[in-house]
Amino acid sequence: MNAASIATAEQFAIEVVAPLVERPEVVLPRADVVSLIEQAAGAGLTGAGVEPDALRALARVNGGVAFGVHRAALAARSCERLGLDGEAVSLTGHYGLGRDALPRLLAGRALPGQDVGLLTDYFDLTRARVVVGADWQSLIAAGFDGTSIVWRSLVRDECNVVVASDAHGFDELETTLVSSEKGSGVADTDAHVEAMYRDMLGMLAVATGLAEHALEIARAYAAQRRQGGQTIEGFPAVQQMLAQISATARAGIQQLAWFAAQPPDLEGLTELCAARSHFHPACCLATNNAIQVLGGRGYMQDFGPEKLARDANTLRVLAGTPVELQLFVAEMERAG
Amino acid sequence: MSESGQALEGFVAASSPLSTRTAFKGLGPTVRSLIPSDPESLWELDTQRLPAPHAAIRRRARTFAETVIAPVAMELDLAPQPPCGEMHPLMRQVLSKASKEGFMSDLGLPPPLGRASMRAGRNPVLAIAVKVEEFARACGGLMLNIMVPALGQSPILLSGDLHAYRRFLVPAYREMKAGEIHPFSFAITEPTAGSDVEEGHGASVYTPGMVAKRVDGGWSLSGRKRFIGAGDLSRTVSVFAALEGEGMESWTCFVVQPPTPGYTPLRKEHKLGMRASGTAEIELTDAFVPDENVVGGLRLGWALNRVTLNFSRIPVASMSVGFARAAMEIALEFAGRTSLGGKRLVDYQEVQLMLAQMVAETSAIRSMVWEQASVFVPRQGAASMTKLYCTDRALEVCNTAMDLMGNHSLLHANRVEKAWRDARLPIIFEGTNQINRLAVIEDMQEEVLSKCRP
Repeated sequence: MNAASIATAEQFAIEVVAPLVERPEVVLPRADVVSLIEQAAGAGLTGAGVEPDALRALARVNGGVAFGVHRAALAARSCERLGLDGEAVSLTGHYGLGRDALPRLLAGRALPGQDVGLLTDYFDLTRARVVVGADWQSLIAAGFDGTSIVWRSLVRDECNVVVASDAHGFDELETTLVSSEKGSGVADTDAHVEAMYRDMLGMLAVATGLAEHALEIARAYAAQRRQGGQTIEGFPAVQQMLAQISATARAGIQQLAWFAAQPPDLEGLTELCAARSHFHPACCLATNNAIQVLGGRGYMQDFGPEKLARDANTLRVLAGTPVELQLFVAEMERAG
Repeated sequence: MSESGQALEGFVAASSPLSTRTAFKGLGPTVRSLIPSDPESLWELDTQRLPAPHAAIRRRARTFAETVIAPVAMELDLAPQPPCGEMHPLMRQVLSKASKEGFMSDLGLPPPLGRASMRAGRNPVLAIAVKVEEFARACGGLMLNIMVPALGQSPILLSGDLHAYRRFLVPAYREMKAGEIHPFSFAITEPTAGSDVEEGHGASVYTPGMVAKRVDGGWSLSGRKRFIGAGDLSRTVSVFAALEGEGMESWTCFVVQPPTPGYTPLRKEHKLGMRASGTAEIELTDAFVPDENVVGGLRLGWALNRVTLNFSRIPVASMSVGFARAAMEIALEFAGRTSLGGKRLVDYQEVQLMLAQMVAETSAIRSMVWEQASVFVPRQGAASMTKLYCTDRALEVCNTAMDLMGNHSLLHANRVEKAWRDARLPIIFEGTNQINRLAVIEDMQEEVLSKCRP
């Protein structure tokens, strides 16, 4: 763990990002997000990957900025490894996580014909896939050539890009449907393992930061809101919710410490899939509990928790839903 | 639906001798008549369970929802809320049509003024519940705007005060019959009190924020109310206020009919969901209310508030059934039209399992709503347990639907994320689900006490 990097991230989050996102109902312009990502890079935060605790610190202030920084850093790291150019990265295909065929491919096991068919279709770049991140002009996208993961470098103008406005979460970022028939490939299946590991680790970090942010808001509100003649933090109904949020944040922090120390290999990826399949639903519940602690105010955009819940929902379905992550883990258990 | 030689992966076709559709045909006609196995839509099967008047309401409500509400739902979900006192033209169209159809006057008065069915009137909450599910399935915000009047009318209706019926309901129903829009609102929540105005223990120590001061010929109301559905548009508002110098036990229901001096909508909220509906904070400053606008009598407001909540919480549960059904149906459509690896998503077992879970959950909460609504006015414990359970489970159905659709669920155009946002509100309003859990215990307090030793 790089303590200096984390301290820099905390300072950056508090001094640079926080003043821009004081009002939760006001969406940070995407140009500002791009600028923040550049500033984060200038501050040495993105380097060859972001420290999970640095992402956590950013997500405690704004989940969208944290996710944007994460995906930009992931793109930079992937480009470095592959020798390609791209401001953004797309690891997953048009639907799901490649079911149980993807772990078989990543484990180097023989692929039956139906696996080849499924993965060919899954990674088919002519089928629109969802890409979430900061504005981008170039993208590296994972594909499949029948035996290996193939990486393509795409220029935005050569892609069919449909901007999906008013997406569910990460209001600050751009959600797009991207397809393309262009691009030459670089085959590197192991790079996909590393990229997925780093992506999932970053998502776990952002989700943990969201849970911490939810705890901060809910705890502060519960300490001042009165009901029945006392502050609501004294009621078990509220304590249960605060405890669930706290437990989620604490579990996330512990998991991050573990995964940050692991090599980004297939075993680590399998453990991360397992952890995410449990953690993201818990994070969704935690942010929902923050809404509930605030009652009617929690449902309103100017108080914060509703955005946390939407961002948590987004993390839950990006790079594998809990069901898809379970299929991945189950296949790896079977192979073992 | 018809039989065919087609089958989902993992299942035999209906024409197979191992299909129950075919195998049951070998049974005798008497037995066959006892074992339903013809293909039917879930909606038809459920509708057939209803008493005839309620089945008719359900059919009429679905047609209205699909032809009037659904076509404008997505646009109104994204449209900014107009300033206080103004209404989006599309909303005006919907409410006018709902008014003409009698969907805003079907709670209390029978024809010729209202649309309350005398036969359905034996189960008025069930009648409202089946309608609400259909409207909520199409759009939470529009449903809420159509239903808020029923909430505002409820304390008047439940007061049994014939004078109040003649003074407030009859003229409004006449207008609505002519297609005019006459919003009602129910104003209990205060900036410093959400739960305290919904449960007795909290109320016993709460200092009321809205106070009525005695003046010549009536009352002068001052204070604020928050989270009031259509509070900026309403023409008849049931405002609950304590009498000056007294506590919550003095709560009285006053009818205020804006525009009137001293009644000011302050702002509208920016909400997570149900965005088509406006939710306002209102301020009353020395607003004069004549004596004849007191509903039921002085100090009867607490009772009217609580019985209204008993009346309204089951329809709130029913709206969550509508959101769950919307999410499930959207996910089913997605799974039917999307392929992966040359197969439809519905052919994958993990998708089938999610669909089955959503169908089961939605059916279970609908059954609870319909069962608990089959009385004239539900008692507190029944209303609260139905509300808390159904709304919690409905959000889980929405979560499952979003899981099924994966990252495509994030796109607004795919509608399921809207169902999720809409489904989140009923867990909070009409009493948070935590307060509703306590309401269940309050209603069975004597039974709980009887188990206490010593």
